Amino acid sequence: MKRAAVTRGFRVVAGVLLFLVGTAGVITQFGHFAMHLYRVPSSSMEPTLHCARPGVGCEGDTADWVLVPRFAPFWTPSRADIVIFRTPPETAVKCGEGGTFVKRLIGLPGDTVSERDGYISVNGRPLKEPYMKRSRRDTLSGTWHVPKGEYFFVGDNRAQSCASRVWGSVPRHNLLGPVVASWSPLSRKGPL
Amino acid sequence: MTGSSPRPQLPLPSQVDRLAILTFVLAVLWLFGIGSLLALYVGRRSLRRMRLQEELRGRTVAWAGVAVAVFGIALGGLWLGFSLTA
Repeated sequence: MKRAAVTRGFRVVAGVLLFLVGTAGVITQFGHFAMHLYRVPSSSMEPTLHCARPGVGCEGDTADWVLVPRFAPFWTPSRADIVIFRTPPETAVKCGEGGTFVKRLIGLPGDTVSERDGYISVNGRPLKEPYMKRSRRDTLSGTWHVPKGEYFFVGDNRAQSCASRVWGSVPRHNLLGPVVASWSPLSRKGPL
Repeated sequence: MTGSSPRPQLPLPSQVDRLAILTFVLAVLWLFGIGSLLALYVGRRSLRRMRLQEELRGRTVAWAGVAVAVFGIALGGLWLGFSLTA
């Protein structure tokens, strides 16, 4: 009787261990082949995406991790999408750092983007930005033309964002994909 | 030879069901959820076979494979949903 109980206990422990090993294997493949996981490094997309305190302007206890599908056959970059992309070489020169950025897409190929006192218009029409907080706008003014095959990005935290307004637009082949959801921390998990 | 006592019946040596191992392997392979679906199918067959043939072992492995497969199907659905609706 006692031996049977020990055997059953052993089986349960072995089963749980096998399950944990198996799920770890599946999650590894998911992160490797199906979805990219990116950590938000800066405050340029606050308050939509958090970076971790004590970083400058960061509001999160931990940085957000976001999910980007590796394979999105039906995705065409659209205005207001949050996108992960590789920056052009000018970025490192003008912002002090380059690499992989996450920003909001506001200008499509052929668009004329203009900004007056922090308020953006595209092709002469004011851009509706429900994701923008008034306090996050800056006072920049300017006009930019987006070349064919390129895209124009800004951060939701305009004053803290070094983006297309500074270094220009991004070619299509630099776009890695749309941010579809926040993966971590648990309290902020969900689609974006 | 006549009248000799019958040979004692020895219990068959127990062996691990290969389908149980295959269930776990397919579940871990995942293959965007296809492996998970195959693992569920194979796992069902394996568990049924082990119920009928008591000398077969590997229930723990099979059940762990089935659980991992269910998790894999959930992740596969998540991936498919995000990829197609992005």
